[in-house]
Amino acid sequence: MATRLPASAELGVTAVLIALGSAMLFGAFAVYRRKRGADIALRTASTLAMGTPSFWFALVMLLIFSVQLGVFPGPEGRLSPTMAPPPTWTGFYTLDALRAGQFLVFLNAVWHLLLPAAMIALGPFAFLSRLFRGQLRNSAREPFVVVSRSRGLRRGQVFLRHVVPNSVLPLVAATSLLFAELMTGSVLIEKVFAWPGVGSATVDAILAKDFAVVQGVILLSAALYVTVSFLADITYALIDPRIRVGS
Amino acid sequence: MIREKSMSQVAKAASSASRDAEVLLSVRNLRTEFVTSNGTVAAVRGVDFDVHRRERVAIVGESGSGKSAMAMSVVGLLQHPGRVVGGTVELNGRSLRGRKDAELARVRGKEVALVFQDPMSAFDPIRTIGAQMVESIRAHQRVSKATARKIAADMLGEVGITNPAQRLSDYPHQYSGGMRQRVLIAMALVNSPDLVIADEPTTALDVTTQAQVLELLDSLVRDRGAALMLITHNLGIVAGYCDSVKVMYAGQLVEEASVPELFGRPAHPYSGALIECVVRPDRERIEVLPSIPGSLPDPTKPIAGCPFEPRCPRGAGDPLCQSETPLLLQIGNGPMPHAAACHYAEEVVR
Repeated sequence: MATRLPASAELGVTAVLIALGSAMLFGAFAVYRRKRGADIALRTASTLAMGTPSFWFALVMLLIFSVQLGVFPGPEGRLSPTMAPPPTWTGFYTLDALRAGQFLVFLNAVWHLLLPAAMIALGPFAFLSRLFRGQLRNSAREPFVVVSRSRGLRRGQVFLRHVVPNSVLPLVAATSLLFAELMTGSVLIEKVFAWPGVGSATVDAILAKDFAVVQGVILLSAALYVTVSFLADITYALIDPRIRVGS
Repeated sequence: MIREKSMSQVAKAASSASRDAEVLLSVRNLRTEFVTSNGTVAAVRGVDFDVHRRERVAIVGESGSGKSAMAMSVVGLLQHPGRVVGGTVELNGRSLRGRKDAELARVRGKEVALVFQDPMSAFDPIRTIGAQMVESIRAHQRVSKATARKIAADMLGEVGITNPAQRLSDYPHQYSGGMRQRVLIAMALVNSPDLVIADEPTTALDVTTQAQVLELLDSLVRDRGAALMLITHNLGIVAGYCDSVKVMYAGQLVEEASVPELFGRPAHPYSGALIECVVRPDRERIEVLPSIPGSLPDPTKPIAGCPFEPRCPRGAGDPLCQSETPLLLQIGNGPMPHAAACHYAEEVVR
């Protein structure tokens, strides 16, 4: 479990970062440019991403990018078989490699992370980008947007300083739940990419009727949910002054 | 053709009466539409007027008469699905129509500032009042954040906020409604604009606060030598704070006059009816509040004849009123310009 949890967590964190980053980027672009085409493209992409089974799409991507084009590694886990893991510090290979100064190991770890993380990020990206787009559109209609512009702010300034900050709150809530979910691993994606994480460990444990492991995983994920929700609540108060309590 | 003739007549009359006053804002044949699923709504149907430097003008009309749409069209902030479809707007001699957002941004707040109706939703709820004021100041003045904060504190003090330096760090929800309206006024005036457009600035406030806020707005506007365009449906507040009145009905100006002229000798039946509706405590007690029967014409349809004809005490059913749209024409030879768009203006005015 000591190596499995960091493996899943590293994948999960990367996936959340990819999903959140691209969702904010695409959502903001679609709303700000007010181009029908961009908006339709975003909604089509997110609908497709939501509807596509990620393990199947992962297999297709493996076929294209690994087997055919060879730009991404095959299902060989976290590092190339010839590469030794960096000395353990956090258990995240990328961070550990950087700390040890093993730059090639770092690159190799990132290279192995990207495809599975992107596949996990697919569903969350679709969900988050739609959520963000809706929030942005609502915030952009708030009276203070026109008021700010009447004071001499350009549309872009108002968008970045007022519309976006007022739209990220629900994103925090949604991301925190996704985070808790992804930290304990994605069963199918881990299987497809031979990722030595919690998800594949759980499957093995269930098949072996090793219930101690299953119970451990459940306890772990419960603890994660509580912790992450707590952190999200704190983030809320940091973003929105109206939520702060006390003096 | 006829329309242009009347425009030049009105413009000539206006300029001869106030030759010394420089024209600050000049609006010609402004037309604004809203495209909705129920059809295209013509909110502003060809409006012409001038605002002179330091002049305090009231734009009066009932809800839906196009007052706010006109104001937002002037500053180029009409919200989707509204759009300006024609006409010219000149401020300080420069056209504001068809300019880029960045160019208009330099004008907004600096040359023309707006005070809005609802102080509750006019601020970004998650940024401090100070941050929003500093942002407004630095949009037009090249000063450091610290200097801008000092200017902001001085301005807040000027509108009557106690402990202004401390209150800059407070968020909008920590201010009361009346205080927020004061802050909104402070923000509008902090860059000393030439023209302040106040769109129903006191509608959201209770009556006791209304008078204070109007008093404050008036004194700040005078101190800075700004012109004021006060948009309201309340004729009662016009008399105390404005020099002249423009009455708007169904997207058109139907009467223009100085305040004493309009209240003393209204030349359009609609203005007369509006004045009748002002509740006056000095009059004897009445059981039913006066009102104008009927409602505005359907804004999605073109108007044949006078837009006020169906509700008009003088012209309802009159064939002339039903067929010909009256033009805004100068009436009488009084010392003050007075124009009305009514076929029977000369008769009504008596």
